[in-house]
Amino acid sequence: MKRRLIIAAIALAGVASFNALNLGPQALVPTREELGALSSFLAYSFAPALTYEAAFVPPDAPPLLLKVADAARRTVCFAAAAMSLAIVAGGILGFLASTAWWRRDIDARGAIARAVFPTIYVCARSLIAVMRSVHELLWAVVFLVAIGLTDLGAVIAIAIPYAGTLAKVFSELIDEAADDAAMALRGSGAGPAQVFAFGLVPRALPDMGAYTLYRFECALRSSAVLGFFGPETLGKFIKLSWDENHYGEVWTYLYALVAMIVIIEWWSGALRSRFAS
Amino acid sequence: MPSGHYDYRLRNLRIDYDRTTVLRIEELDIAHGESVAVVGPSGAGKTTLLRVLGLALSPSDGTVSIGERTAEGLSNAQLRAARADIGFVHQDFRLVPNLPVLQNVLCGRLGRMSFLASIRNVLAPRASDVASVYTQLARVGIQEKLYQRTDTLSGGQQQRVAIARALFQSPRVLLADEPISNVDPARADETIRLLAEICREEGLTLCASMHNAPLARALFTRIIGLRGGRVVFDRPSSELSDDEVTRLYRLTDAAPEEGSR
Repeated sequence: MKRRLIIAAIALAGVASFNALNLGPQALVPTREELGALSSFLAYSFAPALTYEAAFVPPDAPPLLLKVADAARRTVCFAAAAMSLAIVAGGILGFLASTAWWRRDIDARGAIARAVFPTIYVCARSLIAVMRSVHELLWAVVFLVAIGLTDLGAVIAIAIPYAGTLAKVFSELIDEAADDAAMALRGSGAGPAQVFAFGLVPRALPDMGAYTLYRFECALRSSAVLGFFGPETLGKFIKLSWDENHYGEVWTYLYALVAMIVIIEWWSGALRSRFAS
Repeated sequence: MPSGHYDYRLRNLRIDYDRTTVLRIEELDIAHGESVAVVGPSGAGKTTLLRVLGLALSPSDGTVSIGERTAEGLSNAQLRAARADIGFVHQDFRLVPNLPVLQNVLCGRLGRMSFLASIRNVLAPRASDVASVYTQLARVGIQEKLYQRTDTLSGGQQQRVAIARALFQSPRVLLADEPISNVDPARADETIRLLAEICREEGLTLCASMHNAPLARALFTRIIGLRGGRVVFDRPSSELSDDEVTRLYRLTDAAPEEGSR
C-alpha cells in the first residue's frame, strides 16, 4: 500500500512539473521553417565534409581532416590534463573523506585525535560537496568572468567537479570494501594506516580504476563542450562551422567526437576486464 | 617479553554479546609451547575464546594476561606490539584476493614496522624478504605460487597462504580457528597436522579450535572441551576418555546455536 502511494506520488510530481513548465506535446511539433532547417542539417549527416565548405579558404590553412584530427587531439589533451589533476586531488580528498582509517579505533585514541579526525572528515566531505555541486560549465563561466577562459582555466574548471566526484566515489568504495583481510592485519598488530593501505585500498582499487576510466570518458565530452567557451577543442570548431551554416563540417567534427568516445570506451572496457580477471 | 614463560592467564573471564553471556571461564592458563585444542559443538564459544586470546575482543569482565602484562591497561602501541606476537589463522583465510601471494604473506609483518617502512617492504620487497616468504611457502608446500594472484588458488592453497602469512609474522603464539572447516576433509587433516608439526618444531604455543575430537586427541597435548560457553573439561589428551567426548557433543541439553562468532 505504502509503496503504491510512493509510486503514485512520483508520477504525480512528474505530471505537475510538466504542467508548471507548460510543456505540451504541441511544443514538439516544429514550424515549417524549423522543419526545413532540421531536415537540411540531418541530411548532412550522410555527407560530412571532407574539405572546407567555405568559398574562400586561406592558402596556409591545413586540410580540413588534419584540422579535425588536431581538434580531437587537443580535446583528449584537455581531458587528460584535467583528469591528472582530478585523480591526485580526488585521491587525497577521498582518503580524508573515508572513515575506514580512523573510525574503528577512535575510542582508544587520545583526546586530540578524537577531536581532529572527525573534523577533518566533515571538512573533506563539505569541500567535496561544494566542488561537486557546481557543474564544470559553471566553473568555466566563473573562470571566464574572473580571468578570461585560459587553457589552464578550462582544465581546472573540469578538474574541480571531477576531483570532487572521484573523491566521493573513492571514499565510498574504500569504506564499502570487504574488511575481512583488514581485520586480520589489525589482529596481527598493523596500525590504522597500514590496515587502510594494505587491507582496504587494494580491494577497492579495481573498482576505483574502472570508475576513473569512466570519468575520463565524461571528461572527454566535457572538454569538447568547453570549446564553446573558447578553448580550441572540438566544441569550438563545431560552433564556428555552425555559425557559418557549414553543416557538413559540423557533422565531421561530431563524428570525430563519437569516434573518440567509442575508441576510449573500447579501450577502457579492455582495461577493466584486465582489472577484474 | 622473556621467552620460556610466554603464556596466557585468564581469570574470572566473562564475555557478553547483547547482554547474553556467551563465554565464562573462571581460570585458564596456557604455558609457552603448549599445544591446545579447543573442541565443542557449534556455538560453544570456541571462536570467542580464540578472539579473546588474539586480543581482538576485550572481556566484559575479568582479566586476560599475556606474558607479564594485563591486556586491559595496554596503550594502542603496546596492544599492537602484543598482537604482533600472535599469529592468527582464520577460518575464512582473510587474504586480499587481488594481490599476489607474495604481498599477502609480506603483510604478516606489518605489526613490526612503521607505516613508511611497510610501504617500501610490501611494494618493493627486499630479496631477503622474498627469500624468507619463499621458505615459509615451501614449508606449507606451495612455494611455486609465490607470484600468483591469491584468488586464483584453491581454498586449500589459500588456507596455506594464510598459514604462511602467520608464520612469516614470526609469532610466539599461533591461534587457528577451525582450520579444517573450509576445505575438504582429506586436506583438512593434513593442514592441522602441518600446523601442529610446525609449532612443535618452532616451540610455538598453538591453540586451535576444531570439531574433530579424535584428530585433536591424536595431535594435541591438551584438550579443552567447551559447551554452552563453559569449560566442560580441560586435561591432557592422554587422560581424556571417549565418554567425555561423546557427552560433549550429545544433542540433548545442547547449547543454543548463537553468538560463537
